[in-house]
Amino acid sequence: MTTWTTAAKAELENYFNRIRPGLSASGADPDEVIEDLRRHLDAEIAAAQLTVVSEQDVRRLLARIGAPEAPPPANPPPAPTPDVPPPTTKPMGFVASGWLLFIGAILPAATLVLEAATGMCAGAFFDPIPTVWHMALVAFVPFANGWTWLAVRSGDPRRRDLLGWLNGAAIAIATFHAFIFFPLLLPGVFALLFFGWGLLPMSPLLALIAAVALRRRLRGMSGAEAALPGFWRGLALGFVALALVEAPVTLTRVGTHWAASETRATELAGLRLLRTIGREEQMLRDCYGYNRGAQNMDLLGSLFAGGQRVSPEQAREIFYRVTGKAFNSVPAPVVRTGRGVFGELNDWTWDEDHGGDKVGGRIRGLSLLGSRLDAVVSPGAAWSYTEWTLEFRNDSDQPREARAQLLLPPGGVVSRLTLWVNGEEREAAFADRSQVRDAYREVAVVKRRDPVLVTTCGPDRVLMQCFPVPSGGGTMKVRLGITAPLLLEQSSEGLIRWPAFLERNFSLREGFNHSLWVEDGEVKATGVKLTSAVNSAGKTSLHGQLSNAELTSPDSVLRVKRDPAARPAWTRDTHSAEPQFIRQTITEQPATTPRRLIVVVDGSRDMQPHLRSIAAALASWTPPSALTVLVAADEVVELGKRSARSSDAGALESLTSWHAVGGQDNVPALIRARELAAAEPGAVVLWLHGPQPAVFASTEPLVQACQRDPAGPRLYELQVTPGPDRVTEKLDGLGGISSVPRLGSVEADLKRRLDSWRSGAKTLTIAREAVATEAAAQADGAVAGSQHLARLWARDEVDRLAAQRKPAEAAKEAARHQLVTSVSGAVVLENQAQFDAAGLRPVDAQSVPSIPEPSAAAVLLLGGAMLLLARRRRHRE
Amino acid sequence: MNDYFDNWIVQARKGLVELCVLRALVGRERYGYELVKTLVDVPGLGLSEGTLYPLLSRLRVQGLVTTRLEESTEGPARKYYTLTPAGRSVLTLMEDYLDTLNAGALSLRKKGAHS
Repeated sequence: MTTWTTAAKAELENYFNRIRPGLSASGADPDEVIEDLRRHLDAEIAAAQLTVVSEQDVRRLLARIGAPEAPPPANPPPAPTPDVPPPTTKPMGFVASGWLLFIGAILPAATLVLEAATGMCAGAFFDPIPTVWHMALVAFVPFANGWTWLAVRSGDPRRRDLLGWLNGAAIAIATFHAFIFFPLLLPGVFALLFFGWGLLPMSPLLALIAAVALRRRLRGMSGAEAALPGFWRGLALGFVALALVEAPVTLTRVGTHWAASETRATELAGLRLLRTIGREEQMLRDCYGYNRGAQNMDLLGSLFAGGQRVSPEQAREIFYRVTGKAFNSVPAPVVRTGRGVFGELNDWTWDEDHGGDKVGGRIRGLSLLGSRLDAVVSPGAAWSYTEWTLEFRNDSDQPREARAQLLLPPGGVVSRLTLWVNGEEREAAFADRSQVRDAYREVAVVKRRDPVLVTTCGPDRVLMQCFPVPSGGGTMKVRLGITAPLLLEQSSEGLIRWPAFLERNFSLREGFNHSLWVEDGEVKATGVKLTSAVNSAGKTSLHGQLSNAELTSPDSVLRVKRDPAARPAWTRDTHSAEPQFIRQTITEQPATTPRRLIVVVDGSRDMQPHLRSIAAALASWTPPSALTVLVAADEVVELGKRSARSSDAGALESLTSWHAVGGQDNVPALIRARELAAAEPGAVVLWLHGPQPAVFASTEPLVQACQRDPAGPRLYELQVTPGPDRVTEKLDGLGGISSVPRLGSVEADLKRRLDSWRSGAKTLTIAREAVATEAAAQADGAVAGSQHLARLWARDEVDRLAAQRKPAEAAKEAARHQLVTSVSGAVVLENQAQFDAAGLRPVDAQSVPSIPEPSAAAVLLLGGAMLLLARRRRHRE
Repeated sequence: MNDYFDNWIVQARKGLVELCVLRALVGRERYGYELVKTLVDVPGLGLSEGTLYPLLSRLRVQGLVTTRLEESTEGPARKYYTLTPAGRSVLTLMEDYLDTLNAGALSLRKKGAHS
């Protein structure tokens, strides 16, 4: 056991302290060498068998070891690299060192934290840190600079090579960001000079300067003996990291640019690229336009695309072509925007579709606060009336317009529109479509007051828009009344579908439910759970809460029991120009089997899960008539024809194995199908499709064919999944087009339609006619019905007049009967002066349908008054 | 004149020190004390322990040698040095260069003797 005296220990430590700077400068690891020397001394002492080591022993041993001298260079001095200035060993001064630390590490780190916390730049210009990877790269610069600064300051060269690499990468990243922020440098300088702030945009450039300066210091740390590695390779590494982080956005931008090309080959190449590697979130951002906060920092993509961006309209079309979805069928993209005081700088969901005839993008802060549906049913007369009350709430900083496309019950028509103004109900004016739209635009867009507008946008579809839903949590409440016939599959049962949203620009909070109530009749709900109850008046009702998905689901159907022997119904038409009565009869009509069935199948991605069911349903199509299957893909593909069932298998197998991609344009396939059908009398076109939120090819050939030959081949459309469909919108009001109601699965609905065409099949048909006398209306023991019969008759009459190209007459008929049709609309304005200015007259509140119906209400009122009178009399007695 | 010769010796042996260290490690690993003692005894090299340890540290930093520590029953733990493939390559280059240089110097010497 060897003992060291205190003086010996001190002598040794002094020696080590003296040699340490020289060792650092030599490129050796000082700690390692000192440990080696210590071990060597121990070995010498052990060899000398010393038991006590004195100060003199230490001096003697150290003298023998010899002081470490400046070592010879390990390699010949390298030629100075072109990227770094000549090395210097001049130590950093306190001020210079402090500045380097500030501009190299503290300022960029503070800028990053500030931007992450406030979104200042994202709100005002663009988002420099759109992803966590961007954030990590930006954070790398102060990290590398800070570490290098520490090494230089302490003179510790142990991590010199590693720091050389890190510094190279930091220089690359700082250069990129300095370039990005270059346009903001000059304003930053002015702001700094005149206001004393504005250092933040300069942060990347200052960090770059610091990184270069620190590299000089790092290289000079050990004299000029050793080259500092990692400049070019670190630089390359930094740029590669930037490219990787930017690649998804850049490739998406390039693909979008190509997809917007007028050259078909380039367009298809762009679509293929986007379908393969496109970033959906980026495409979604483009759909919301040039809003500041919605923009990514995408230098490479901008350079590649020549600085051009596609318009929001183009972006929305491309989004559909790539994903097969409407851009507003998914929540608006989450973007970093200004927060706190900087939040006022932007509201990136600027509503470009305000006052227009499109639903447009989701609006931040706009939501549906409440939704109630009240329905009454008349099983005998086979009609239903549903009132849908919607209340919107706006939590954004600006008044907003709520817009939605609604799917009505099959054959339904909007017969009432109400707006609550200052707590009071205001009824709508019904008039020519353009007249009500002009009035709405004048009041909503120019005067920015309270209107609500409803117009049709395709068979069984209406567009509802109301403005303004007040900012800061304000609400707006509207109500639509919808008259619809019952669907009669069999005489003992009628079916009702709820109205539902197809497209909307507002959100539904999580867990949102629609509140439903149905009165009258023996009603049974299928597909969803509703509770049955009997009210105080002894009437059966069905009520409950449904989620939006349940409400929209084709399975969500009400079944109403009815008397199969129900007699005809009649009513006096109180809205007609001349006195008339409406008589309704329900008869069985024999089926007409099409001589040729041309099926157009949408080849969009959303259809993929349904292709097998469609093929299965078509396989059951047994009548000896020809079948042709066309698929709407990037090109129209005809899968096959048949004259006997056995030859049909190939086409249906092809359909089953069809690979549906993106979103397809159905118009060319429909035009082709119409041409094929026109060539063979008795042919029909059956169009099975998903939503198509954009139209690419012109629909005019189709519209022209329908207008010029209204008695030509019928087109039956069956929309497989709910959503906006611009093609059916374009076909609004044209004759010869019918919607196949959705009442269950795609296969079941399709089979039902096909079965109705079979030879020998009979279909229950509701026929309404106008007769001049009450006696004629009451013939065959017809029972008195409601005004809804007159409304449904008027709806058919308007369609007939519109198909005969008599729009003015059709619009007058619709306005008289207070209906929203393809030629008419409904608008509620804030006050009578606005109605007068627009040349409109709101309907009498007594003339609108309601729940309970006015006649029933009057009976109840009378009953109530008599009861009160009887009680009074009893009290007196 | 002696000063001039002394300076020449310093210059001449500068490059040779590393060659000798690397050469000493060819074939087997050596622990520090042993290596130092071997090299200090090389005549004309004029090395001291104080010079050798920093040199070994630099060689390790440059990746020409690797080290490992092993406990010893005879005294303090031993630090073993091993030549790396890179060190071996550098040594080959050094020796080739030295051979060429020697050959040149010898040929000059022979030419001088004959003239």
